[in-house]
Amino acid sequence: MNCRRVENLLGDYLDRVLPVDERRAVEDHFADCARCSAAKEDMDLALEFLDGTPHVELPEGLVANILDATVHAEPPAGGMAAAGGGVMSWVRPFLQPLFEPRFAMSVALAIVSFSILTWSGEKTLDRWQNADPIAQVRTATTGLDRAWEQGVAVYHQAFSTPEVDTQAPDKGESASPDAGTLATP
Amino acid sequence: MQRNRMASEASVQPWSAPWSGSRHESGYSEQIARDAADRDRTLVKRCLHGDGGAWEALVRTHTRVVYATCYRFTGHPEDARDLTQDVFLRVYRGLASYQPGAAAFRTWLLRLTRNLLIDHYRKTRKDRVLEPIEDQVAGLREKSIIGGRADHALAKREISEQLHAALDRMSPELREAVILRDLQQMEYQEIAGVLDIPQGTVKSRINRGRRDLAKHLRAMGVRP
Repeated sequence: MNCRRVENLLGDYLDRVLPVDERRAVEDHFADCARCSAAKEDMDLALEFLDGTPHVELPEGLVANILDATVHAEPPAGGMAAAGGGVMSWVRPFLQPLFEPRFAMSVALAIVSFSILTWSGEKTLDRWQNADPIAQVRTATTGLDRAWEQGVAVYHQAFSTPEVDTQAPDKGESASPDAGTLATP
Repeated sequence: MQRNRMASEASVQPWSAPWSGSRHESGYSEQIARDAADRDRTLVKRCLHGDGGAWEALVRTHTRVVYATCYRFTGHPEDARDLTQDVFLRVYRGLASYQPGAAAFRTWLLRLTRNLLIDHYRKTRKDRVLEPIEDQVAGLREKSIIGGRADHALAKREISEQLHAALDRMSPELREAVILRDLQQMEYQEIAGVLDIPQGTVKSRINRGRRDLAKHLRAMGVRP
């Protein structure tokens, strides 16, 4: 029997619940192993002391105080419903996460988002359904024209800027002294 | 002493094994524990139906083990009293969340007690300044000389103080393992349920806890 095995059996050995053969094997090991023998001595000492400690006496009035405090407290959560239905007691663990604050907040946000989307979607749909088809095409065409114009303007603005920059030194060189004078405050 | 202790505890705690040669008579106490668990389950059910008598029975049955665990862990009767009240208040409010299929009521109750004790330990850790062991030993010896060994009540108090001084120097993990096994006489399986760790770890912590306790008792001069 090795030290590890003895360590595992030590509790049962001290509780005197080991079978005779294992008990003898553990005792043989103690005779050969100073380390395990010292561990056993320590434990014997601790147990002897613990066995000699007095019982804990309950303070007077503690039970009455507890009963008094709980009488004035809220009744057990769930109460009759919790204990009554076998189905409820089975379903409760599944429903419990629904009442978690994080989950409730997520549901509330989802409801608000869905309401906004539905409301704005209905409005757009109404506008399209009630409009004249020719007017719809005209609106769409006007929209496309405006988008094209805006796109062209952006393109010109974007690509004309470097051109101005590259030409700037030339302009500077050929500029009249008056221009510089005008630029200075 | 051991014989008397076990017999006496059996009279107040139905789950404790009577003395029959071993420190923990597992077979007999397992049956008693099963009966006690069934009785508790019925009481909880009645309690949730609004039966005040059932709640009182639950409180009367379990106050001792909760208070003793709190007292041994904290070493202060006032703290133990407050913590015990807090435990039962929480149990009362959260009784509907107890799932009888998952654990025995006593295991659930002691797990809650243990969580509160760990919270209490963390909160008070900064305030607790351990007296140097030499001063503590001198104090304990002085009390012993003044009181004299003849005074039985004083001797009991002295042993309790020595125990608390030694337990106070142990880590909470080892301390709770030793308290539950050697002072509350609980089975490994139940301790594993309360601490939510495997039985092998429970055994290892108990072994290490006992050795640690012996080391502190020797350092305090309580044992040679």
